[in-house]
Amino acid sequence: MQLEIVEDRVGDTLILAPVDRVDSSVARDFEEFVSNRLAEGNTSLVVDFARLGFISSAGMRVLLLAAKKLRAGGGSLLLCGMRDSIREIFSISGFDRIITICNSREEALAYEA
Amino acid sequence: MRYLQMVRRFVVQHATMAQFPEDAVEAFELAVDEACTNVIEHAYEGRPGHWVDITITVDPTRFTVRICDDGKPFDLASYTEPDVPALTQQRQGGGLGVHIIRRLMDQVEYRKRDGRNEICLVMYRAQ
Repeated sequence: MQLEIVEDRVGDTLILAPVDRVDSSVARDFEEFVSNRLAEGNTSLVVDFARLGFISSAGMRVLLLAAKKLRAGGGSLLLCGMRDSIREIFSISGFDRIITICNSREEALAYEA
Repeated sequence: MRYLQMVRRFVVQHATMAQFPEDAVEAFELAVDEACTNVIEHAYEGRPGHWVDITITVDPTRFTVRICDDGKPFDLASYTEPDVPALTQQRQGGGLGVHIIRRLMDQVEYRKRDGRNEICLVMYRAQ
């Protein structure tokens, strides 16, 4: 199984939309992908969950790490487009108290602006 | 790890056939994924060539997934609730997977039997 991510850019904001699933079999690839984008100097990142049907704790940890790195450098990470079941997992894990979650991509971009 | 998707499909298929609602099926999908990942990463320490036995039992009141392995036992006594901000310090572990499993399932039991580790994930049907 391979990791698939659709990328988009609006102004200075890089939008990453992982497709289908981010489980522990692709979490390292996901971590490397995000880490490379941060190393390229992207400081405003939105991860859009609209195409994502499944994420496990290994994938969530990558997002937490990215949020921490971005925040330390004055940047930001926003998540958006989550289906209810995934949002619930972010809530019971306490991740929603650390990473800002917006309803839609539009809301996330307005938040960044 | 490459079999995880197959395992998830197996569980989703049976939970759907057992007529559990979609949110319950998705909860099982994630809980089983987390439990199997823990077996691979912790019980077998990421080494290939080991087995994981998954048994599904459906009865009128509940849906049970039993996951067995013969790797390093899970130390329940050392389990603590995860410290989410500290999770970035470590690549794996931190108890997040176990925390998610416990929150999603109605009942979680660990057993050591005949040199094997067993975790039972149980969800009861809404009455």
